[in-house]
Amino acid sequence: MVLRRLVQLVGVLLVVTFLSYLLLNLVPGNTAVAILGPGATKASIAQVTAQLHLNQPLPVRYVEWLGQLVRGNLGQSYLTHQPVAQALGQRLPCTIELIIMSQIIALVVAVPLGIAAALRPGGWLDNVASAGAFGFLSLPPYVLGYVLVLLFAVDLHLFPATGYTPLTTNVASNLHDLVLPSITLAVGSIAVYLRVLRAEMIATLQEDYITMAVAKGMPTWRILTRHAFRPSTIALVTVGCLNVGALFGGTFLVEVVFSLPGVGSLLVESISSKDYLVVQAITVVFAVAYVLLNFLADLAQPLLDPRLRTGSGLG
Amino acid sequence: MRLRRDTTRRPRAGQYPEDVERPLLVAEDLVTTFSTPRGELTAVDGVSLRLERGRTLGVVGESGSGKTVLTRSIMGLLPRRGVRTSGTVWFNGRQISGLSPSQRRAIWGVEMAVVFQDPMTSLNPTMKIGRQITESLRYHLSMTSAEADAQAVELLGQVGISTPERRLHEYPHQLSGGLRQRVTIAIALACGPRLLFADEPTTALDVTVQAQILDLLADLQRERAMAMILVSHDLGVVAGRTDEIAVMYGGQVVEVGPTRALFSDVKMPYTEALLRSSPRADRPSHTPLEVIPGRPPDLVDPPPGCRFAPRCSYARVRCALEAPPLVEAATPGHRYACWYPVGTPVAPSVASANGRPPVPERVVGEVAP
Amino acid sequence: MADLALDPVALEEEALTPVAGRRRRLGVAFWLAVGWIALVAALAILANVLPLPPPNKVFYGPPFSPPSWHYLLGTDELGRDLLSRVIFGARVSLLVGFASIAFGMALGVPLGLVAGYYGKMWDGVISTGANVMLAFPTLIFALAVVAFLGPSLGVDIVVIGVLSVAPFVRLVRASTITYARRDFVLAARMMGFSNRRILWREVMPNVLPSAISFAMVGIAVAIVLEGALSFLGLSVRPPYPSWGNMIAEGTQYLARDAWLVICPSLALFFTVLALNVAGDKARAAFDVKESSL
Repeated sequence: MVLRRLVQLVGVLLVVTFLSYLLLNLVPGNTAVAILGPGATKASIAQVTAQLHLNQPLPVRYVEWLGQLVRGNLGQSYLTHQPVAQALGQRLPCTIELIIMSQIIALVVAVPLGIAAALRPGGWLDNVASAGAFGFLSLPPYVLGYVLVLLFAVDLHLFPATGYTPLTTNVASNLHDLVLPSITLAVGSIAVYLRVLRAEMIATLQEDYITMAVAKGMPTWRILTRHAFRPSTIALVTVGCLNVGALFGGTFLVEVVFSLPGVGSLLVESISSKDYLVVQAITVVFAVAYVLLNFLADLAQPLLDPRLRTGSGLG
Repeated sequence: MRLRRDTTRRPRAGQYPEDVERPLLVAEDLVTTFSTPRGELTAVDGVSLRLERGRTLGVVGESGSGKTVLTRSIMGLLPRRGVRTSGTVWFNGRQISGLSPSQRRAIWGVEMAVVFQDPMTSLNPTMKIGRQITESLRYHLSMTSAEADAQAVELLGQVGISTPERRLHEYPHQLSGGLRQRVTIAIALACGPRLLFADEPTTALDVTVQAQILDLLADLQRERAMAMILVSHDLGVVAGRTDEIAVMYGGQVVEVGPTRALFSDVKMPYTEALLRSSPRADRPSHTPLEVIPGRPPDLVDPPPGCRFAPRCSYARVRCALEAPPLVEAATPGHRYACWYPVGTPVAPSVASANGRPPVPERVVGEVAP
Repeated sequence: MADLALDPVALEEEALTPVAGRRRRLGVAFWLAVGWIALVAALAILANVLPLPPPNKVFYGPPFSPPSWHYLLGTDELGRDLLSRVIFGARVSLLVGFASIAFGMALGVPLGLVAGYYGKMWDGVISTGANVMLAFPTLIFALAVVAFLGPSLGVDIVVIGVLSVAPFVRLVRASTITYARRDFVLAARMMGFSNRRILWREVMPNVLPSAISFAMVGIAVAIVLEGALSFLGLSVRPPYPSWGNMIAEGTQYLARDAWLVICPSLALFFTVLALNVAGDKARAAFDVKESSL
């Protein structure tokens, strides 16, 4: 069972990496020229062609590239002359911290709201929260980000509009810088988590075993936390993994808006400077992360739901 | 607010030290209505009951007769929104119908308990069985973890589950239906309630297991001198295991009385029809089951008069106009609500006017149409 | 907490009307949303005919003018009329939104129908393909492909369209499967109707409503995607306005005149919101069960 999933995973990873590799060929014209940019000398073209095996057939090239990839060699940017892996390593902490902070904010907001909304479906809190969720879904980072900047940075001077202090330098300053970006990124997640949790809780609360718990004389808070929440979290974890996977590729907008030195902004910069190798490398990394997180999400269900664990007696 | 009970006061055989004369449960004129898009639906319409300690009351009726709503109304286990109840309920000498939710919670699980129909869904699938039992013990009786576990093991033993220590750590889906229902019973009886509501406890189980569960309930009841209200749509289930039976139709009690009297001296045509529609072993095989033609009444806009009249073979004009009151029958405690009870001549003109075929002679006996 | 105890009788009544508070009918919100969408669409389509100042004409008015009778939304940093730019920008967003989703539906719906109805090998191939496509992180690939191919409106439409095929396939396939097993399909087959005809006449009309409500939300997503792409300069190039690139350009002057950013932002927000609301209400009206969105 797990074996089959693993095989599927490998298959998908192969396809994803292959398609990522293929991207480079989408560029019209000679690939080496595209990588080096205009003003490439014949010598450098020849050098690149040899280095990247561009004259060899596609499958061979792909396998070579994949081999390098697995060893952690993401290539080197011909524009900045920096190994991509190194550049990624520098930028990754910022992106990861952003994602973590945003998810914490999202959960802190969505979980209580979701539970409260599920308690009284159709009530005022539920309607407000659901309407809010719609609103959040309709606020892309390049809209919300600037609204927040306007309010909190320009008008109120509470938080910085741009800039980033690394965690190692100054924790307080680092967190301070990340507040607005995290909120911006969290908003979409809040909407998703809220809807999922609310739907799950409503369904769970209608189950007989909840009525049973009520009939046992258990107080509401206890029923919510001990009886109702656990089954509902299964879906939440699954969606959470999927969401974080999607976020890996979604931070770049926030990073651009707030000028954060993360992987996303590196991607955007590389796109504008047509540094294709870097773009390709980052794409592959994110795609693989996404696939792995999806896989994790698939695994989460049987792990968390005792009913789905195999090898247990009667069904 | 927790109910701190003396933990030595565990359920054991014997009488409770209260006044045995007083009935355990008295319900007077219970009415429960739900707000639905079509209007106010009266699920329970003026039901009164009383139940003595240690006795068993069977509540019988079709789906939609209001029997489940009745038990929930007595317990107070109804949703707050869109539901109105009126009437009074006394339990153990105390009026419980007007209590606040937290006061009621002090009673639920401790003095009153419920066993639901489907053990598949009434147990939390993500919680170990042991936890589901010990939860009440620790919350209501303030037991320690060790004490509660020990008590849970004992309870599981009492409900006939083997290797109870191991079962404590298992999940519901690892048990069969019958075992699960036993666990549900164990959970219900954990704190030693005086009254148990068993709502169709065997309907979702295999036939072979049904008798076991019912026997188990009867045994436990005897040991603990516990009263029980056994709800079912199946007369067979309540036949041999109750002291009294109340037959419900359309939200009302149409016949109530000591079990033996009810069966030997059936008064209400609906009860008779129910009896006829139950498969019985003493009839020749392949006897067609006699269904009761027609459908239950609309509880949002019930017809005036007797609610069973449209489907009744004995009905006459008066039945459709005036609702019959509950009157006493021969045996004391046996009451029924019918203008023309079983035994009066069938009125074929009315029966056929109702679209019903006249009652076959062999059942009616000596009465000729 | 008696709230949590639901009675079977009441439950049955409630099953006829979905989750408490929701009505089966499309409510006021739906029609408001549709109204807004219609308005924006009408303005976009008729943009050339309407008495609007040319959107690219610089110094039509003094730069950074506040809203007034002359310039209803004010002017931007180069003196161009904002209202006109917003309306012309709507063209881009709506075009990309509708075209890409139309593309997705044109491919996705038939594929989903085939996979769901014929099953077996067809289903195997189509589903695997769809699952593989769904395994890709949308945004990243959209970005990458557009970047590599060279950004333009056409590329955007195709890329977003291609990425939307798989979700449609999955949705329509699931929908088709539930309908294909139903009796009326069996009856039609027994009457000798060809599969093709059954698919077209019996199954598709049932599948279409949920596909359409899904499409509405899809258009919202597509518009947001296009906004992201043009924000990054990967769509229509300035001076041609699109909501995304207007925002991008306007951010430089955020402190001075926030209106430059606010106008296209509001337009985008309301349009996307309207589509989300309309799509959700439509889905709730056609679907008895709550699907997890």
